[in-house]
Amino acid sequence: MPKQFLVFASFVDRLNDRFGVLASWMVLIAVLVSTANALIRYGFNVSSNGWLEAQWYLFAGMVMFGAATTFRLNEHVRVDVLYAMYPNKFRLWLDFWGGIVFFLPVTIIIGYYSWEFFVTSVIQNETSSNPGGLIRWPVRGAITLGFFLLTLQGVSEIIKRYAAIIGMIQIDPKYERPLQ
Amino acid sequence: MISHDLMAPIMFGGLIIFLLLGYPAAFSLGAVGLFFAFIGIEMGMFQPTFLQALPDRVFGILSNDLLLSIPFFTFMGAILEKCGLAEDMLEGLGQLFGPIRGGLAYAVIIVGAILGAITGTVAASVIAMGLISLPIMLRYGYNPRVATGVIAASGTITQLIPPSLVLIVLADQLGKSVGDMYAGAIGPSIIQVALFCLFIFFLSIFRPQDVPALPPEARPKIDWKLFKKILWGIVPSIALIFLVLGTILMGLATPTEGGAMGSVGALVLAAMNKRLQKTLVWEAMTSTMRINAMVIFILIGSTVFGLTFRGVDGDLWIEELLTGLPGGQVGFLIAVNLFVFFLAFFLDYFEIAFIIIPLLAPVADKLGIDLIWFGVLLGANMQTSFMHPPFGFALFYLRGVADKTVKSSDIYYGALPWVGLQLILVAIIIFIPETVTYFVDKPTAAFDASGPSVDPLAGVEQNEITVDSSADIERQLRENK
Amino acid sequence: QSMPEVKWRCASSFPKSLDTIYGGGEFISKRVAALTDGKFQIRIFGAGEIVPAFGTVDAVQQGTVECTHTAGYYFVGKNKTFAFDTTVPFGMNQRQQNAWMYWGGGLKLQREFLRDYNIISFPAGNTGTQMGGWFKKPVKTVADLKGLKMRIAGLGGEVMSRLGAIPQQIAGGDIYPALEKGVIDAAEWVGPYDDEKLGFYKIAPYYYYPGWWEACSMYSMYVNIKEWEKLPKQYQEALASACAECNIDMMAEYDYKNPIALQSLIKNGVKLQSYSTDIMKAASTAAFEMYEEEAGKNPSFKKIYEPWKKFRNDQMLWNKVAEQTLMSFMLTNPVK
Ligand code: NA
Ligand code: NA
Repeated sequence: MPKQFLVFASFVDRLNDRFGVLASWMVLIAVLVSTANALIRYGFNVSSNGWLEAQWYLFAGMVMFGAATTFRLNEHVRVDVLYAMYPNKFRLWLDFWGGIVFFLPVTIIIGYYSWEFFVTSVIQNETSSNPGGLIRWPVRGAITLGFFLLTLQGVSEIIKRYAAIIGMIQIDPKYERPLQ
Repeated sequence: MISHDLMAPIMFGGLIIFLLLGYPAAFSLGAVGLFFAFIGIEMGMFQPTFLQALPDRVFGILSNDLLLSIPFFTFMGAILEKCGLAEDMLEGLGQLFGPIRGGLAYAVIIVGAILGAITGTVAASVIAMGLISLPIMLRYGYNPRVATGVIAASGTITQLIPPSLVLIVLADQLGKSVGDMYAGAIGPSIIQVALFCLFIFFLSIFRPQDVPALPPEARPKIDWKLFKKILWGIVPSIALIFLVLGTILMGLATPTEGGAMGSVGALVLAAMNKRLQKTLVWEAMTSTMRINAMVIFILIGSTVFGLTFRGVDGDLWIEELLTGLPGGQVGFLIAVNLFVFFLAFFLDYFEIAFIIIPLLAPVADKLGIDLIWFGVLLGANMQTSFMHPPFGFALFYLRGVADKTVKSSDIYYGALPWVGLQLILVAIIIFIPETVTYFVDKPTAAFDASGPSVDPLAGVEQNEITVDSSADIERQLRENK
Repeated sequence: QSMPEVKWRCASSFPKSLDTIYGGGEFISKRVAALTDGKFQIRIFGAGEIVPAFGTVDAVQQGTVECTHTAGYYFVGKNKTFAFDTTVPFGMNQRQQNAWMYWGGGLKLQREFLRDYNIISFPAGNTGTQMGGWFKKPVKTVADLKGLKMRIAGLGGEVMSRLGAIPQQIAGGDIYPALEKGVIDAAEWVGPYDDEKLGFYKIAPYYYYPGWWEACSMYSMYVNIKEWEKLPKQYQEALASACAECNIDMMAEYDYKNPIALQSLIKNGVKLQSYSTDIMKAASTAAFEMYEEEAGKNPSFKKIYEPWKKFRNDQMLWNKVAEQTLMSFMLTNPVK
C-alpha cells in the first residue's frame, strides 16, 4: 500500500479532531445559552424563539461535528459479548470489513440524501415557522457536512486497519465501553 | 424469494446477528436497515425514494428539545465526579454510620441516592464510591461480595431517581412529558432505596460477619467537626438538587434548562471547592461531546433500522405478536419485562430504548396501559442492564477502579442479589401501579353526553353584538369594490 | 377488466391522540379501499412514524411517501402562502373557506402554488371555529397581553407577538405540565372536545373564545403529482371523493362532539370569557398589517392574498344580511 494513503488518513484524523474541538466548545456554549434563556425568561419575562432554537442548533453541531473524532477514538459503543473474545488480528479484520460493508454505505447514503435536502432548504430560503425563529439551512448543512466528515473518517480507519493488518503500522485495537 | 410476512421476523433476527458481530452498534443498526431496505426495494415493497426520509428523521432527532438535556446532565455528572462532592459526603456519612453494623453500606446507599438526585450518569457515582468506600469497607472486614454489590447497585440508583437519562430517552420514545415521567419515578425510587436498606438490615441480623461495624479504634469522635464535614458535603448537594430537580418539578424550568442550570451549579460548586481548573472543564466538555455523539448516533442508526422495519410492515408484525398474548395487560407487561430483561444481558439501555420501545409503545397504548407507568416500569427493569454479570456497565466501572485483590467473580456474584432486588421492584410496580401514578397529576377525560343542558354563556359578560341596519348594509354593498 | 393493486403510504402530520383529526386520514383510507374493491390501499402513519410532523411536505415533494394528511400552515417557514390552505388569523369560517376553495378559485390558486413542491392538494377535513385558549388569569386589554407566555402556533403566534405576548412552541403532551408549572401562562389547542382530553380546565380555568386566529382550520391531503398522474382514473376519482367526504365528515364529527364537551367543561367549573373588542381590534389590525407587509415582499403570497381578501369581504357582507340576522335572532330567543 502506498505511503500516501497513510498521509491522507492522518490528514483526515487531524481535520476531524479540529471539528471535535469545535463540538466540545459547543457543549459549554449550549450550557451557557440554555441557562441564560431560563434566567432571562424568569428574571425579565422575555423569551426569544431565536435563542431557544440556538440551543438545539448547538446540539446538532455537537453531534454532527463530534461523531467522526468519536469514531476515531473507538468510542462508539459496541455489543462486546463476542468482541471481547476476539484476538487482536480478528478485530482488525472486523473493523476493516465493517468499515466497507457497514459504515461507508450508511454515511454515504444518508449524506447523499441530506445534500438534496440541504439544497432545497437553501433554495426555499426556509426559516423556522416560529415567530423570530432561525434560518434553517445552516443546521441542514451541518447534517450533510457531518456525514461527509464521517465518510472521510471511515476511509481513514479502513486505511489504518489495512496498514496494521499488513504490518505497516501498529494499532492497539483495545476497546473500552464508553462511560455513561 | 422471501415471502412478505417473513420479512419482519427475518429482519429482527438479522438485527441481532449484525449487532452481535461487535462492530459499533450505531453503524451496524444503520447497515441492517439499509441491507433490508435494498431487499425491500428489490421485492417492490417500497421505492428507493423511501430512503429520502432518512435525513428528515435525522433532523427530527437533532431538533428534539428533550434529547438536548442528555449532554447537560452528562456534563454535570462529569464535573461533579471530579469536584470532590462525593468524597466529602461519603467520608462524613461513613464516619457517622460506621459504628453500627452495615453502617458503611447504608452510607453508600444514601450517597448513591443523593448523587442520583443530582445527576443522571452511573459512571460518576460508581467510580467515586468504588475509589473511596470500597477500600475502607474491605479494610474493616466487609465481605467483598457485599461491598462491591452495594456500590454497583447504589451507583445505578441514579437511573431511576430523576433526573435520569433513561427516563428522558423513554419519555421521548413514548411521547410523554419528561416532568410526568420524573414525577412517576419518585415512588419507585423511594421503594428501591428502601429495599436496598432492608437488604442490608437483614444481612446485619442474619450474616453480621459480612457487614461489621467499624472497630472502636477506627471510630471517629462524633463531634461538631464531624457534623460540619457532613453539612459541608450535603448542603451544596441539596442546593444543587433543588436547582435541578426542584426547578423542573416546580415548573420553573424545562428539563433542558434544569440540566443547563445544574451544569452551571456544578461549575460553581467546583469553584467553591477550589477544583475548577481549565483541564477539568475541558475534560468534561470533551467527554460529554463524545458520549453525546455516541448516544445520538445509536438513535440515528436505529432510525434507519426503524424506517425499513416499518417499510416491511414490521410494526404490524410486532403488534399481532404482542396483542395475541394471553392475560391482557398483565400478561403483556410480564412478557415485555422478561423480554427486556433478557435483552439487557447483551444490549445496553440506549440500544433497548431506541430499538425496542418504539415497537412496544403503540401496543401498550392499544391495550390501555398508562404510558408513564409503562415507561417507569421499563426504566426500573433496564436498570438491571447495568448489573448483569458479566457485561453490566456498573460492574465494568467497578472492575476498573477496584483493587486487584478483589476477584472478578466476587464482583459478579456480589451483583446477583441486587439484580434480584431490582426484579422485586419491577414486580411491585407491575402489581401496584399506584406506586407510579400516585405522584403524577393526571388529567382525566370526561366525555359525557348525558345530563341536562346548561347555557354555557349564562351569566357571562358578553361583547356587544351589533347588527347593522338594512340601510347600512345596502350602503356597504354599493361601496364594496 | 381487473384493476391493479396499488399500495400507498400516507404520512400524517397529526399524532394518533388527536383522534378526530388523525382519524380523517383513516377515514380517507377506508373510503378509498371501499370504493376500489380493496385494490387501492393507503396506509396512514402517525406523526414521526416515517417522518416528523413538519417534514411531510419534504417527504411528499421528494416521493418518500405518496401523500400526507396535514395542515398547510405548518409549513409557513417555507413560505407563508402555505397558510391560506388552512386558515389565517381573521380568515373565513368553514363554509366560506369551502366556498373559496371549491368555487372561488382558491383551490386552483393553491394548487398552482403547490406545483413547485410537486404537490396536488385536496381539502380534507375541518375543525370549524376554534376556541381562544386557556388562561390562568383573565386578560381584558392589550396591555394584559404584554409579557404573557402563551403556547400558540403559526401566524396566530406572530400576531400575538406583535401585541406584546411571547408565543411559545410546546408539543401536545408537554403543554399541560408547562401550564401547570407556570412555564407558560396560557395555551390554545383546538376546541372543547380535544381540549377537554388534555385537562387544561384543572389548571387554567379561563376559557377564552373565539379563536380569532382559526375561524376555521382546514386540513389537506397533499399528494405527489407524479404518483397522482400514475393512478388509474377510477382511483383518482375515489381519492378525490374520499377527501371531499372527509371534509364534510370531520366537521360534522366536531359539530357533534364539541357541544357535548363544552357542556361537561362548564359542569366542571370552567369560566368562559370572550376576547374584548379592544384585543380583537388590535389583533385584526396587526394581522392585516402583517399580510400587507408579506404581500409586499412575497409575490406568491400576494397572488393569493389579493383575491382572497376581496372574496372574504364579499362573503362577510353577504353573511351579515340573511345568515347573521337570523342567527342573531335565534341565538338571543331560545326556544324553551
Ligand atoms: Na438520577
Ligand atoms: Na388551535
